[in-house]
Amino acid sequence: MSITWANVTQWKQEPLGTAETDLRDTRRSMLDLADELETMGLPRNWTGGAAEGSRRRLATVGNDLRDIVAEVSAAYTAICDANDAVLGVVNAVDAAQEFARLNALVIGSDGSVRTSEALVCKVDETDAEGAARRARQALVTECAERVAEALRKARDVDSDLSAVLTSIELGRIDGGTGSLASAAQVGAVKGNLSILEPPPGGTPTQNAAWWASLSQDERDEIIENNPAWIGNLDGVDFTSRDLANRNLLDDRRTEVDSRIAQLEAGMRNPDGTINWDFYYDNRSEYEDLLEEQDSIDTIDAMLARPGQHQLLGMDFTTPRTQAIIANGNVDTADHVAVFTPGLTSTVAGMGGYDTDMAQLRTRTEDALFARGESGTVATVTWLGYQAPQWGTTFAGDSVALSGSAQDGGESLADFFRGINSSRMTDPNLTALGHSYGSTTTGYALQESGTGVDRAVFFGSPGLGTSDVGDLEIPPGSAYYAEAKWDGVGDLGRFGTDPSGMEGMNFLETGDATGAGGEDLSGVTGHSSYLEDGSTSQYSMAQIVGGHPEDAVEGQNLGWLTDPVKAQPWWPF
Amino acid sequence: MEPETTNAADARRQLEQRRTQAQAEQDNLALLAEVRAVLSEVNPDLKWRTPEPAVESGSLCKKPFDRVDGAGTAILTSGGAFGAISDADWPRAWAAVKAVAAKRGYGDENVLKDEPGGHQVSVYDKDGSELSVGTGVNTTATVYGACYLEDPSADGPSTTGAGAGWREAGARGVWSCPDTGSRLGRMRELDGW
Repeated sequence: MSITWANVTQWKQEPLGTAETDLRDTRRSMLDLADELETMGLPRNWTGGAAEGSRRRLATVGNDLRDIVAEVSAAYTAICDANDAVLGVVNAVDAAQEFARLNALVIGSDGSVRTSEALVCKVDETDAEGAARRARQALVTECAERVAEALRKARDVDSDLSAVLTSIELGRIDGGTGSLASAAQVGAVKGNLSILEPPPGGTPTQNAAWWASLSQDERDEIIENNPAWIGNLDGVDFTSRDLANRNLLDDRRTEVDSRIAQLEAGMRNPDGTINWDFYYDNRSEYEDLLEEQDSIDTIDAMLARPGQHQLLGMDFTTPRTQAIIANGNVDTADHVAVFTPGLTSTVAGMGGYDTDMAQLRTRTEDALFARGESGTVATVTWLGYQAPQWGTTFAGDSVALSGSAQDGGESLADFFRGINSSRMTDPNLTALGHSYGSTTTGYALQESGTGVDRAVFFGSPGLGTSDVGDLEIPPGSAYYAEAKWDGVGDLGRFGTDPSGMEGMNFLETGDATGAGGEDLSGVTGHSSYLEDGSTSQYSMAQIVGGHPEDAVEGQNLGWLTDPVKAQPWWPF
Repeated sequence: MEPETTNAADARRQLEQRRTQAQAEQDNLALLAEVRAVLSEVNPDLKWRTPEPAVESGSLCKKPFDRVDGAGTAILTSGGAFGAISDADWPRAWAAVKAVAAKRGYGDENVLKDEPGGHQVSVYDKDGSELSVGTGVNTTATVYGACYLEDPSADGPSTTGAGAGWREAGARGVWSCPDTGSRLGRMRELDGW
């Protein structure tokens, strides 16, 4: 019989808890028989047919007892696991029902999700109506995914538990020939239920729904034994991702160090000279490993600094290592900013960006507190893509050039979606993009459902579009900063130069006075927008903290844009 | 890559002339404690959110020190206080802050904001650390620390970081309940036989 939504809403964990206790007691009682079995020897000098019969009978009893212990142990383990899993199902059902209630949705007994509002596109639909319809559709979809994951989990538990119980019933669990304790261990292994894996190719909301269907014990086991399942999985809470990634980092560090030592040993001949054949055969792998080692060293150093850091993602399979690291707690912060750096960014050189984000976080929190608000802030450095390096960027055609940004944009969009999917309450979410990272951010924000509330682009060679309206963020929420002498900001290589985009808000980057009368310092060039105490950093702090009205508006142009008009001090 | 090496070496030499990270943190935490005291003297109704100043966060150094191993920077917070310093009291409060800051080498005053209901001023030390003090509805005092080399006598980053300690606590949480029926705990329980 197929399990339906109506079935799972009736599931309860308590009966399994009772069975778990009973089976544990039974298993312990049976293990206590081990001593009696050992001392149940026959009198030493007893021989003859009766003695032989008794010996055979004793052996049979021993075998039977081992099988029973193994079966009870398997049942105990299976019921324990099922107890955990059912708790996860119950939690997932509760979460889906709560989600439906909060969003005025109805879940039918067959698991279908209904809304009282029409979701069909009207011929004369306005932009606002279209946006509202899409938002409503997204809520229905998320609720349906929560229901689907709860059901997938319920069916998985049911199937796994049935298999174990059937094995027991058919006497397929053999306790072996050892002690009762070893029979118990055999049974425990046989009774172990698998943990449901993430939905293949799941969206962040599906992943969040899957994670919600797991008990805390199951989550702990994944973090410990299968951290790669969730290290980069958008939709899973960031505290768990951090723990998983730290486990992965430990493993990878050991592997890399060991392999480097192995290769370096191979590069030396016994007489101490260099083995050039070996070197050339292995040079590519060796250089990749050294890059990884540098990256791991930097990640280690960042994580070892005081304060709360979260390692939200890591990838060593890409040509250059990728990593995502946060200051603060992304799961609980009221305001979250995600910064995407650009050209030449590497994990090994990520420390400076992390410092920028730490400073931005504290400046934002201080500003919020001084104005009487107590919001908390988390800032993320997102290097979850292959940022181009010199020598690979400005060659080839423009489609190829935007490839990293487009691919990265897809990943970044999922990261944004994962922030909202993994939390019951959405934070005030700001996207920050610098240089080629602004192009990546621009592509990400052209995707729907990212939940980004505001975006600040700076020193941008283009946003991958020439129309601000293509960015799926609330109207009027895109900001652009360009400093004098920033030539990259004038390239307009990936769409129009943002300095000329209609509908964009422009931020001052020169010396300025803040909304509260602050005396702020200007920056010039391409790489100083996040400088501590600068006008641009001040404005970003206001925007990240949810007070964009206090950002300092103004427009500076770069190096190439209309130099005569824009830069009267042009030296030529 | 010779120039870069030279720059990194120069940067390291420059940092070696400075206090250690541990000493700088100790000095700046003491400074923030003094700042809290003088501000509370001006307005005894200030309610500090934390019992004492603390290190808010730490990170690696920016250029030109970004390639120096063992170099780091920290942000230290007074904790922040509920309540404001009134406009009338601000000059006296700031003079008192400046006095305690000057004793620790802070000067080069930069008034960021000075208007009714809102004041924000920074002073800097020779290494580039910034003491930022402000008041609005509430009052803040924060040190944005300069770059320093770690204390050579420290055990090393993997055991001194708050993140490492937090992770160990998390790991203990996983393994500490072998008899609660948890999946990992059960395997431990059987391992003991």
